[in-house]
Amino acid sequence: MSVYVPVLAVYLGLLAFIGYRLRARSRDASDFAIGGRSVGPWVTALSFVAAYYSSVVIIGGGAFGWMYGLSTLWIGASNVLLGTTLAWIVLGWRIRRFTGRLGVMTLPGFFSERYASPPARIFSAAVTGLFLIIYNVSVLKGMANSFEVLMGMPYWGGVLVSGLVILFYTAVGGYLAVVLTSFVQALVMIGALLLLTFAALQKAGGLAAVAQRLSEAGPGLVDTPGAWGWAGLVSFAFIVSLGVWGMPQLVIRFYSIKSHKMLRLGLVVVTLGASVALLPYLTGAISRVLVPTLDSPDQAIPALTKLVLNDWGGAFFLAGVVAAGMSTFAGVLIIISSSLVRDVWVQGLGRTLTPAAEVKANRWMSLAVGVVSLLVALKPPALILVLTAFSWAVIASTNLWPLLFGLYWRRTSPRATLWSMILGAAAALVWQAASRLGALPEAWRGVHGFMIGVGIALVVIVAGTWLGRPAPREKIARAWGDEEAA
Amino acid sequence: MGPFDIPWPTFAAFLVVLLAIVLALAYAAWDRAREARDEGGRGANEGGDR
Repeated sequence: MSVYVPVLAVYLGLLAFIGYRLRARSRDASDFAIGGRSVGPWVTALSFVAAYYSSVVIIGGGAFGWMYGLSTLWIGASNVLLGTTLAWIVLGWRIRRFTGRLGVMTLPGFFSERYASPPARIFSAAVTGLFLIIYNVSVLKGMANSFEVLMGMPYWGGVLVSGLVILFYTAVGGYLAVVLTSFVQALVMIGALLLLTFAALQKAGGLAAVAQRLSEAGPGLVDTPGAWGWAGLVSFAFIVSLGVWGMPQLVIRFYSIKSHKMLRLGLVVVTLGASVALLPYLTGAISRVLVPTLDSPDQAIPALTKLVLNDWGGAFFLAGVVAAGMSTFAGVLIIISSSLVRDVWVQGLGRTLTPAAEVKANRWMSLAVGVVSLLVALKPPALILVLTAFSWAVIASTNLWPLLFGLYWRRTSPRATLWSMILGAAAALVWQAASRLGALPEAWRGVHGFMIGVGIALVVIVAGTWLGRPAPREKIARAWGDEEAA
Repeated sequence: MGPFDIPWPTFAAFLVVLLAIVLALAYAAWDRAREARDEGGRGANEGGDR
């Protein structure tokens, strides 16, 4: 306990200092929301990793590893290949070019300008704002639980300590503070995961010994799909990998990168950094061998940490978990505030703000949204990872296809886009609710609402585009650039 | 049975991560060569647009 306090105090103090130092760098909304499109490859890549992997992934991923064994490594592998490498290749530079040409700073803003569809902007902003707050609550809960288990700090104390530091550096420093702190946080998180994995493997006698002891405990713990089954494993792998393609707090990283050359270097850096996605699942499986009896699977990683690391190692690991949560929370916070100010207030309600006034509005909005998240997190809902996946399903079902088709298919119909958003989000919601209420047939229960939501959204946008009309010619020409549109 | 006494269908998850790293390197190299060929050194990026 005594070691934890100075380690975390230094760490949190450093993050607050970064935010304070960058307070003068946000001169207009573009600076506050996307760092003036001037962020380099290392910071972009590692801040993507930090925003992607929250404390929910570390604690919840470990819980899945503990419950279902080594087959959950496939979730981490799909995070790397589909959620990171392919996302950067397919979306990266195209998003940077399109949003630069259209002069937009948010995902709802892209829909509005690309499709000439203000309703698409409003719907996307509303869904994104609401469900990202739910997601942020689960992220805060994950951080506070880690403080609770590893430090003995009361739950509410963990929420307040982590939440208030994030609010400070996000509101004061804007996007640049978020990505720079995320860069530091990614390094801490990667170091912490590597430390825990090596210590756990050493304690367990190596990977082969872990596999041997897991197969003795139950063959489903080493086989694929193992105890989880194909439907559950594939659904979950898709939601946390393909879902990324429609998550605003992650695709925003592409808006802000400085140049094509930097995106190329960033692709290699991000793939290497993202490879740590395997580790929470691997350490979770190892914890099944070393700590086979737990009150709740969510305790797998904290219990393993206490078993295999000394106080300094435990303090460093806690910093890593907190880092993962803080970077995700901050990334989401800035997305919600910039979306509400730019897409709802300025564009939606037609208010005119000076650059300085818009920065100020963003600061107050990020504070307000952060405080709401903090208050909700003090009386939190139950299952961390389920909630995360629930909110991801709805947000991704809303945004994924309109973004992808908006970048690659000129003909994509604005009306089909709006209906794809509405029906995709509704299908994901209804399916998840029915699943929770036990109203689905046995064979379908393992299928996540994300698969249904994106499936219906895909059919609607493709069929609607074949039947409907494309966006106005000038919008398409502007999005694609003169040379391509000619 | 694959390496470390892990069944191949499970061990393949590690290989997929390796594949992602190789893909990133190969794509970056291909993209760099394509840019050099297409742009002839006139500088393709649009870093200034906002």
